[in-house]
This record gives sequence, C-alpha cells and structure tokens, in this order.
Amino acid sequence: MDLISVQAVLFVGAVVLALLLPLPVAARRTLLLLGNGAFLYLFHPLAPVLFLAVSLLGWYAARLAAEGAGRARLLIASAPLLLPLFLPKLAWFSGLSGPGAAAAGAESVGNVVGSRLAYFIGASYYTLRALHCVIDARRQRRLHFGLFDFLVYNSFFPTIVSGPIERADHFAQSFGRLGHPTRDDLAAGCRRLFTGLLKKVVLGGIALKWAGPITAFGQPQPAGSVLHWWQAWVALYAIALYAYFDFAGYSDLALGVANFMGIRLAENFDNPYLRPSIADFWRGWHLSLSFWIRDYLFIPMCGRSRSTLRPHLAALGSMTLCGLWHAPNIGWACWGLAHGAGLSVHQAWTVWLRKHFAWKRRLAQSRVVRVVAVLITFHFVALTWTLVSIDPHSLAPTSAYLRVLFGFS
Amino acid sequence: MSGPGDVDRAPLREHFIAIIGGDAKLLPSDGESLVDEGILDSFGLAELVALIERSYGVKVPDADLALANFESIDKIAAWIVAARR
Repeated sequence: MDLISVQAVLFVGAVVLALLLPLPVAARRTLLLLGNGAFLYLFHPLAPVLFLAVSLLGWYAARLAAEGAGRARLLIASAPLLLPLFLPKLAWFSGLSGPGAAAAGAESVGNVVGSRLAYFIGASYYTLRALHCVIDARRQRRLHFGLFDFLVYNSFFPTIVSGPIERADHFAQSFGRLGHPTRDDLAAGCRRLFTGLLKKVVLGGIALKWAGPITAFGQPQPAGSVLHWWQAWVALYAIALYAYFDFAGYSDLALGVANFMGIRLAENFDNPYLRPSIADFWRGWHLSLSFWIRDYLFIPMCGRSRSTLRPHLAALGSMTLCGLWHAPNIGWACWGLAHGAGLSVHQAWTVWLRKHFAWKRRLAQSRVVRVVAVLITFHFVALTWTLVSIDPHSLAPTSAYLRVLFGFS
Repeated sequence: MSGPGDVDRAPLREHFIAIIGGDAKLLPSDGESLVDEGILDSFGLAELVALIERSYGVKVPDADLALANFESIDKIAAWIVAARR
C-alpha cells in the first residue's frame, strides 16, 4: 500500500471514524488493534503474523525482566528480537525472496529509513519499541502495559512504518483518551496533516528533482553531459532537504493521524538543520531514535567510568550501530561512524572550550558565531548523506561524487 | 556546607569548577541548569555518576541514569538525599 494514496486516506478515515463511535474502552482498543493488523496486512498478508511473533516474544522478555529474571535467561529470551532488526536488510537474505528482493531493490535514494521486505514492514520500529519495554522493565521492575494494550501500543498504525519510536510511558499518557480527541487535538491534527503533506509531497518532491545529479550519479548519462561542481553542490543541498522534508513530513502525518484519535505522540523533529553543533543536530533529528540510541546504547556503553576516552568510544560504537540499524551496508556503517566521529570531535572541542568558560559564554552569545556554527553543522550532515544516497553498498561512487564536489575531477 | 536533609556539596562544586577551568566565580548557582549552561551533557554523565558513587557511597541505578536527574547541583543533592533514604 502506498502511504500517500486514496486507499491510505480511506483506511485512516474509516479507523478514525470507527473510534469515534460510542463504544466501551475495551471495544475501542480492540477495534484499533484490528485496524493496526489490517494496516500491516495491506502491505503483506504475513506482516501481522511476524509482528505478533516479535511482540509476543518482546512481551515475554519484558515480563521476565519485570520479575527480575537473571541476565543470562533474559539475554536468551530477548536475543531473537535482534533478528528482525537486521535479517530483512541483509543483501543475501533479500536475494532469497522474490517480492522482498523487489522491495529491497526499490529502496529509493535518500530514503533515510532504509529498505525492508514487505512482510518485515515496520519491524525496525516495533522491535525497537519492544526492546525499549524490555530494558525499561528490567530497570524499573514493572511493565508499562498489560499484554493486550502492549499489542495495541506496539502496532499503532500511524507509527508502524517509519516511527516515531514512541515510548510506552509517553503513549500511556494519552491512551485513555483514545477515540475522544479534544478540539485542540483536532486542530493540531489538521495542522499536522497540512504541514506533513506540504513537506512530504510538495517540498520533498521539489527537493528530490533538484537532487537528480546525486540520485542519478553513476547511471548512464546522455553523451556529452558533464556534472559541474556547482551542480553537485546544488544536488547536495537538495538531497539534504529531501531527507528532512520526506521524513519530517511523514512524522507530521503520523502525529496528525494520532491526534485525530486523541493520541498525542512525542515530537520527532525540531529544526535539525538550524542547530549549531552535531550534538544539537541530534536533539532535533529523529528524536525518538536519537533518544533510544542515547538511553539504551550510548549511556550504558559509557558505564560509570571516570575514563575520558570511553564516552568517545561509546559515541563511535552507538552511532555505528545506529547506521547499521538503517541498513547493514558499508554506506550506512560509514554514515554512523562519521556521525559518531563528529560527536566525538565536537565533545573534545566542548571540553577545551569549557576550560575557557568566560570565552565560551561570549561565543555562545555571538550571532555571527552561531550562524557559522549552523552552516558548518549543516554542511557536515549534508556531506554524510552522500554516503547513503548515492550507493550505500559501495564507497567508490560517493568518493567520485565528492571529487566533483570539491573540484578534483 | 550541608544541613539536615542535605549533603556536602563541596565535591560536586569542585568537580564542576574543574570542568570550567578552575574559576569558581563562573560556576552557576546551585539551582541553575548545568545542562543549559553547557557544563554537563551525556558525555559527562558517566564521570559525574562515578563521582557520586565514589564520594557519597550510593549506587546510581540504570533507571536513574538520565541527565534530567542531575541537571543542577540542587537536583544532584536532592537525588543523593533520596537515594540514601
């Protein structure tokens, strides 16, 4: 099913209207669960089955964790949860299945959420939500939801394809209002749908056209056509804007549809390209993933160490895993490594700057310094998109493109 | 200085003064956010947790490993007091 289609609009409209019926709470939640299952089914008949298998396993592991099960038992129970994160994206596995291979091959350039097999639709997201519940259950010795509500939460259809990776405790805050949107919810929903469509369809579509030199780089070109360095720069800016408009637009649509049901999801984007540092960029880009990486990978990797080196290694390790989560190939691995290195270098600079604190304060107040910092951060992020938007399976085309960009060919 | 229901904040202040190059006058007040001032971030959290565990003899559980709990010296002190109870 195409997410921007008449079929999708009819589906969303039917579920939202059904939830407005005067039904008991349990019936309304059952209706939503059935709607979520139907949404997955529209992508592939096996998608709800896989979702159920992963979610039941996640629920079992979370219950074990809440009961204080030992580390070994918990690891054995939750280790299979890693399979749906990586299995569908491995090239050899994609090659084994017919429709899946087509889906993987159709991975669009600049698609920041990576490719998936049709029946693995949403697996990256519902698996991370399940893992979040397992880790929180271990830390807090309690469960956020009973099994039924967990299934409703984890399959919530507006978030199933591309997130946000809504946290259970945040989802629970408005879950009681399911089917009872306030006037504010409806107004916010209308605004979100408008801005989401504007970003994803209009602005994203325009940006993608301008990104042609990147999306078509390496493909046969008409005789005599030469890519000039300035065209390469225009395409670089366009692909960066496309990544933002496409993904933030989708998040707006997800938040808007949820608003119509009375559910208030957490923000997923907050002006990421207007941030003065790479650390700040990650406080504005794909927040639900960024916070997942920070809380469940980076901070545990840092441990309780007095070592000043360990957080740098944790940044490299956690961001490389973040890249591999998108897709296990060389492009995404290098993208993650580059962001980890960026965070590490920024941290080293910050530590040095803090030692000169009075100067740091003056710099922080300077508008010129801020503009320069925003430009540097934006260009760094834009350059990292080339690693995954030209050919994520090989670095050679990216390297060739960068040579054109910087006038070396 | 510490009163009833409080902890000795000197190790915390020394830690953050060292981070900002040793000038105590530049350290924000105990109630101000160290995160907003750019003195504490998730990179510095592990080091701070190590200091709390070493200097105050309390273990910081994984569930509490979040910047929000240690955003200011007041919040850190309050967390230690609560953990000792």
